[in-house]
Amino acid sequence: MTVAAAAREAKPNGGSPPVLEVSNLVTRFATPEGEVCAVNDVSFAVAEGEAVGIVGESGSGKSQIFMSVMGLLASNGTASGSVRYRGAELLGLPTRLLNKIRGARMSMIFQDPMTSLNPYLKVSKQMTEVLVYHQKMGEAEALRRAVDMLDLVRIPEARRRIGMYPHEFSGGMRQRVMIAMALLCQPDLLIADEPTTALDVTVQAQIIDLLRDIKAELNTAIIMITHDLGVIAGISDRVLVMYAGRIVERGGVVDIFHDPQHPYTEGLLNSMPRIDSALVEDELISIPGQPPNLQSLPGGCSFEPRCRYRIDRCTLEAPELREIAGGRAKACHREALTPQAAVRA
Amino acid sequence: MTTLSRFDAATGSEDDAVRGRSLWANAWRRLLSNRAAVVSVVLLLIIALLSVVGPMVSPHGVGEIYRSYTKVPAGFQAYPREADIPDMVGTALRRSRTEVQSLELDGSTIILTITSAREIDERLARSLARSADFADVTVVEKSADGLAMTLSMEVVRNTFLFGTDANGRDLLTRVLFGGRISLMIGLLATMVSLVIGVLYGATAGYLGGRVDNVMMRIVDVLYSIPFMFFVILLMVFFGRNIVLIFVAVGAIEWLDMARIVRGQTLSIKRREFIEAAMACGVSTSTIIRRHVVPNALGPVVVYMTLLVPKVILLESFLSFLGLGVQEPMTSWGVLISEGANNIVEAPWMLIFPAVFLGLTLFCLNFIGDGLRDALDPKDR
Amino acid sequence: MLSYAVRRLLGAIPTVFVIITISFFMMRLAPGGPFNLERPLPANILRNLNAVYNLDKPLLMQFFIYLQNLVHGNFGPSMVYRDLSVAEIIGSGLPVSIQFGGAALLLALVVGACFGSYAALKQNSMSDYSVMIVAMVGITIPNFVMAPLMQLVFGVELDWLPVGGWGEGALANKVMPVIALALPQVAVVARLTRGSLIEVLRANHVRTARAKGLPERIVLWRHSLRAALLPVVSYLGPAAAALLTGSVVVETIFGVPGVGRFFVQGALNRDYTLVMGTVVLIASFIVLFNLLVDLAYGFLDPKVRYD
Repeated sequence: MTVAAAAREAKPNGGSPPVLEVSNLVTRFATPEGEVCAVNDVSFAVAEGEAVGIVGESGSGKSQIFMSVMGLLASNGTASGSVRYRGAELLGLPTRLLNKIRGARMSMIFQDPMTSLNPYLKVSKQMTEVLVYHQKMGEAEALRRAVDMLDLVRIPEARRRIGMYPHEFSGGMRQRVMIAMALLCQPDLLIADEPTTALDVTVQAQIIDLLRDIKAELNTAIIMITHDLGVIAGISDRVLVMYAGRIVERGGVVDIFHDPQHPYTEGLLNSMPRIDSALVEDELISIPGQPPNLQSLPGGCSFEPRCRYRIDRCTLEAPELREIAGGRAKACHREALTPQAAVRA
Repeated sequence: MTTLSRFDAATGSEDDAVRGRSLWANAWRRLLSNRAAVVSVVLLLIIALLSVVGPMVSPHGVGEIYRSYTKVPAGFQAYPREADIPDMVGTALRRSRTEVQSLELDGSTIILTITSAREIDERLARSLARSADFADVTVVEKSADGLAMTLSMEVVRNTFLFGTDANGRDLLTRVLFGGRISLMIGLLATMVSLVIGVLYGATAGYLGGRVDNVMMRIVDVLYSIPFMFFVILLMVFFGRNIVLIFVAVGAIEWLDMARIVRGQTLSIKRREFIEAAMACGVSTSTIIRRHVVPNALGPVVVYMTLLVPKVILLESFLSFLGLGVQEPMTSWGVLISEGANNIVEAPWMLIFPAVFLGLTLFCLNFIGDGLRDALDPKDR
Repeated sequence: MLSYAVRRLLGAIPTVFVIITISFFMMRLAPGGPFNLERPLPANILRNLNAVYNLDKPLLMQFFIYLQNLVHGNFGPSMVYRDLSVAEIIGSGLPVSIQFGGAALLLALVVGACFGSYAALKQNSMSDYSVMIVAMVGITIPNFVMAPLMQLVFGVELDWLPVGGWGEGALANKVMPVIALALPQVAVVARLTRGSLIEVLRANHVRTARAKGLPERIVLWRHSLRAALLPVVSYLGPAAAALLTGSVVVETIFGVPGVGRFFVQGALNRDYTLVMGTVVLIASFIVLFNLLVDLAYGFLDPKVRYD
């Protein structure tokens, strides 16, 4: 996808630049076994107050996009391309300047709430330090704001609990603390990297509800990274499907769920158990094969070895992400995914 | 039940093989890519080989004393130096009441003409040959009156690459021989501590509960015993004997090993795959053999490689205090302690054994670190 | 916390008792005795001496007498340094050893932690490798090699510092022994700090701190160092016990009148009471410092609570 297309996509209703605009992002890791390309030429944009879901298997590079965005790549990783926050370039920014944006204008919460909080500091300190640093607030005022924020994420007895250590909270509560902490400076964008994966199912639902409410009340744009299509369905406006470091399909959440245009998306949906399925004997269809080794990607389409719609062209030429009808895009040579088109392997 | 357990055993072992291979193969590959570790392995092998073979091929015996060459500095200089030969001959002839008339040196052959006021006894040649400094002494010519004699003999020339010690013994040979002892003590003591530690730790960890409590309490108590005292008493009590040193050191160093093995066993015992194996009715011994041991092996191997240098150091320390290996045997510790006493006049006596000891410890530590990184990649 | 400390100290009494028992009987099993001199003493004098020191009584009886005296704080008279009591010997040597050990400990902690953190922050750079190689040298070169080398270089060749001797406690005489004591500890602390800091810097909660936009200074000091120093604290406990009770090697080489020398000398001379005194001393230091480490953990790690 071109930068122009990304910009066009992000500005359907107004002239202001998108909150986040990623173009031609490539993230590489130098490993002893050779260079690994975790994110490969990814472009997209997120508009004000929008919720975007990023879905893909583990290792598809979905988290690494946002580690690059936040400047949190491991020391052996490098990102190239462009990442703009409201038009301002973030890649290559010195940490000192990047710190004015991350945590304040743009926050991130992580998969494992059990280890993502500092076990040696009281929750109060971990929260107030954000306000003290970014907004030069006094400790007392910061503490008041932090308690308010814990109330907002529905932590009971916030006033008392804020003086506790992380290990005195349950997993769900810790994730709420993380969310409250991320929202302290009222960021425009909240990046949630698998925020519910480590939690019980009931708690998962509560967290998703909370994020949805936050989006509605505070008009915060949310990026939801997950491998769980159910989570995506619960919160996103738009969905990006990632495979082997690339975006393979992009579209509105309803379109993606009802009419997947990429074979991989279709495979993902088929492998999800559906409670509303009319046929009891409807079987789960898993995608055959394994995700590719990012060190030695096939020359053509990376999904080709596992694809049941593959044609000769797929092995020769990697498909570009191209616009299709309905404001959607896909990276596949095939036009339609009809049962007749399927290739019997 | 039989079919079930057989089925499980079969799949279990296959599973293990796959996991095992990838785990160890990965570790091996990572180790090979660690340059410091590979260099260390090579160096260590060279040192070990030298220590084993060196004393056998060395022209000097370990205990061989060259009285004329005490504290000779290190170098390629052959002894005796040419300038010293007349003096040396003079010394050798001192008691024979003869005078040196002429002395010609051709390579290492001396043509010596001596005169005397009395008739010279031919046995002089034999007595010269008896001294370690000369060989092949033959009478070339004897004057008719017997008052002059020409002798031909070979000077035995010695090179001391590392110099000699205060008693005139070749330091190179002694350093290599000391290496044998030090390395052997390191390995054997480690083996002793390995056996005790693994048995003790695995038992405590596997049985758990009260037994574990008591067993670990004993370890705690032993930890607080000032260990030097223990070793000193052992040395005093049983005499200073090399077997005792490694038994003593090994018997003390097993404490850490026991703790490590116990910790590993405890944590492995709680892992899901053990529960799975138990649920499938796999026997205890199979669980220990197939699941516990291979998984506990990593830290044990790492600890072992780090224990060897520790033991070598300990032996050196004991020898330094005069409680370690005794003459005629020697070890790096003994040599270092002798060197420290002669540091001003003969610094090489400290430097060479110290370099060998340091190099060995360096290599072992690098190998241990490399192994740890290789077996536990998250640590990198 | 106080009640915890008291409970721990009471709990340590059996440990110390076991140590005393083992040491006592092991030592007495060894052949020889304090009065076995090269020239044997006349039988009647020997008999008198044995009577004075209770050595003529049955072993078990002697043990009980010793324990009884110990409970009353009496370590007994030295059997070899005839006119001194064990308490006097320890009393004169211990302050010196504590002074040296304390200085070395402080040096080890400060210098080691600084170098270790520096190496961790510059991981895999040339400066990291240099620090680590120097640390490896510090660990592998035993101080009985290092100390004579230091004497040779700084005392003999450069003539900066006195080669040895106590010099009535002059500062210049203390420099080399303290450094020789501290060097291996500096190296260990540096390695420990580096390793654990690297791990902590990779921990999720540090990633969170960075994601919060906090400057590296706060990420390091507030979010990383405390966790990174925990292993150092648990190492320093036993190390402190060993350092403060004196080092045989360093005290011998530099001629420092500390308490460490008496240990080996006492055992070789079969000075039973002196050896027992040092055993009790060292064992109590170990118990004490293990307790201090645990208390420090309670202070540093909120998950550990003592009530």
